[in-house]
Amino acid sequence: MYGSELQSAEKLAAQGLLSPSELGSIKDSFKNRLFSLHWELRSILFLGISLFTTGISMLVYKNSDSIGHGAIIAFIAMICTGCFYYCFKNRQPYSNEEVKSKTSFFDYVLLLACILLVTLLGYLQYQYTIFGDRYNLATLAPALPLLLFAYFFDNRAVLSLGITGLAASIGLTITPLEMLNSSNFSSFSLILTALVFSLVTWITAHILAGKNVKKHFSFTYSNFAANMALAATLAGLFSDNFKFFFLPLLLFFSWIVYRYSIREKSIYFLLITCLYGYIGLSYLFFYLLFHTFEETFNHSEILFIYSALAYLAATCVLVIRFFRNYRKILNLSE
Amino acid sequence: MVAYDKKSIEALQINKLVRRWFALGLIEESTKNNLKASCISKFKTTRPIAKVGLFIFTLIASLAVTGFSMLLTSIGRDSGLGFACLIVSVISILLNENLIKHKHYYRSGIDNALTYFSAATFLTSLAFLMTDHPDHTLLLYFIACLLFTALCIRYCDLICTAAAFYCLLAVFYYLLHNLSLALLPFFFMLFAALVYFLCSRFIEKPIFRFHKNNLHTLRLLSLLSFYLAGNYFVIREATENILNFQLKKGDDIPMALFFYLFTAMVPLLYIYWGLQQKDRLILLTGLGITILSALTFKNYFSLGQPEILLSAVGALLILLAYFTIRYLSSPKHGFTAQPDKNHSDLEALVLVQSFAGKPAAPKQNAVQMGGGDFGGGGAGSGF
Repeated sequence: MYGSELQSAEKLAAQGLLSPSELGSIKDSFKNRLFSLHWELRSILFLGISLFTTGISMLVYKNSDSIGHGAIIAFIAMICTGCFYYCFKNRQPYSNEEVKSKTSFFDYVLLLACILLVTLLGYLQYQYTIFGDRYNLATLAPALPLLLFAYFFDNRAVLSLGITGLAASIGLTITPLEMLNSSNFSSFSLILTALVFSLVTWITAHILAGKNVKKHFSFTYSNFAANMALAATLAGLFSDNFKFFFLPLLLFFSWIVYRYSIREKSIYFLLITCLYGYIGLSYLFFYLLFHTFEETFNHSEILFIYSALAYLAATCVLVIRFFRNYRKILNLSE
Repeated sequence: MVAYDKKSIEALQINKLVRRWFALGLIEESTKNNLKASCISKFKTTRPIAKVGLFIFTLIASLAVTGFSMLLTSIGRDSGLGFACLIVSVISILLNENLIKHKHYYRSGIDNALTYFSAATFLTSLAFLMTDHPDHTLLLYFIACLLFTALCIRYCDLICTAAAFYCLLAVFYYLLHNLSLALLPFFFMLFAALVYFLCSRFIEKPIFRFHKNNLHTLRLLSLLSFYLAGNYFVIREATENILNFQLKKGDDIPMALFFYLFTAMVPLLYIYWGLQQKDRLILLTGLGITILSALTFKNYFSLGQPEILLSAVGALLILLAYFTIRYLSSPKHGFTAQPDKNHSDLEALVLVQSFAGKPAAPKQNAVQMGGGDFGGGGAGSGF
């Protein structure tokens, strides 16, 4: 099983690059190497938990008439409280620095508690309309404690949940693709809301990071804000009325994210700048090209297609050349 | 045979080993630095996210060039289109060679994209040019198999390996499915077993030192196809598709009991075998196909109360994991529940994950094609 590793080790030893004692300890290590079942067991555990909770919730849902809503709510509340109790009891002391939880089991319990909290409040709103017609409040109510818990327990998954809930409470759906597709995003006011929200998130993240409060959270915030802002400007570009209003906005946001990627040496942010920027600019190019050909060449489609393909090939090569230099741009070492 | 600079690949391999040895505390820091200084690869390594970006933009550019040349040669005529594709294919493979040889690209996203693209356009062009040939699907699969094998040897590419294996299975399927339907599953099982044992035998041989991961891929695929060749669901669907009829209620396929047993036993055997050999690839394949088997049985023996089944299975799994973790709280029989420190076989994990998205690919697709779902250039454009 370790045949080729042994061969390499022996070859290196023969060249004098490994000392005989080191070769010996490498050979010995083959015998004592433990086979870790960590990943497998955790996957089985996770699968078991998801199957079990799915089964239980189906059971509850099917029998809700005979059990009664009060009992179900009490049951969820009980587990939720139990989970939070466990978390508070086993938490690490708060610090502005990154705090690693003692076990990964703790993270699971915390996540379960937070999801149950969202479920509980959702159930209450659905069944008893405790927030009345103010649906914003119904999503805001779980989002705020989640943000609090995220800082308190230092958990990025909970932070994402919290931001998502916050965005939902002002009427924004989350995944970028959904934003581009859904018709509700085409309205001007919603796009502006998204832009303002992402700007606020972005600035908050930077202020907090500047004050050294949970610096490692800034990726989650920035990722969310950057994707939302860029997708919103693209949605604005694709809309019928305000196309050219959004061009400077797209350039502006791309520039911000580009600067950020350089500062953080993040290839990911460089990539999303390229992707969103390229899509936006290409869309405008095709839009203008189409209108030029429509007016001047009297529907000469073939020329339109030729220039479109030439544009794609040429610009992609340019983007590749630009992106190949990511080490230089981001000032990365090997 | 390998396009990339061999010394540099070896240097990368040794660097990986050195990192592992150092992490395990087997070598001194000075030795580590000496080794690193002596093995320098010419390749510019590319970070995974950067690879994604480069891959996407290379594909768009290549597609645009193909469209351009297709328009130039002539619109609508099959031979013209085929010719255009052929030219693009040759150009992209030459470009690929050039970039690898002179600019030392290595798995940068660009060379991967060019390899796949060149294969896809070549096969598309064949599909255009051979439409009149009577056995054109079979021939196309055969050529595709040879092509992907060649690419896999030259560029050590895992997806090309998988594609070659799939095409080979398809060739066998087309050759044999008219001869004897009953023997077909056994033929595929035998073939998979043969591939598996050949790969395991030769994987540590020096000539395959650049193709180790390709052989691991083949091992994974042969384990999977051995199982799928005898999976009850696959057999039943295949029988219905090939013979073009629906089994009535109460009827069953021939040797149903054998295939039920096979579906139930093979995952357990794989898991046992994987644990016994301490081979993560077999173990993970076993765990993965356990899910497939569970789905197969659920499909035919539904008790009508999924919520109880789900809760029970979930509870069992939780208990199983919990007690195993407790049992292994101190290492026993060479197993531990702690995370792996030496990452020695995490490659297997990555390999399995990258193929996990399409577990039922090899056999089932072949079946669907028999049913008439196959479109002319499909073999090429699928990649």
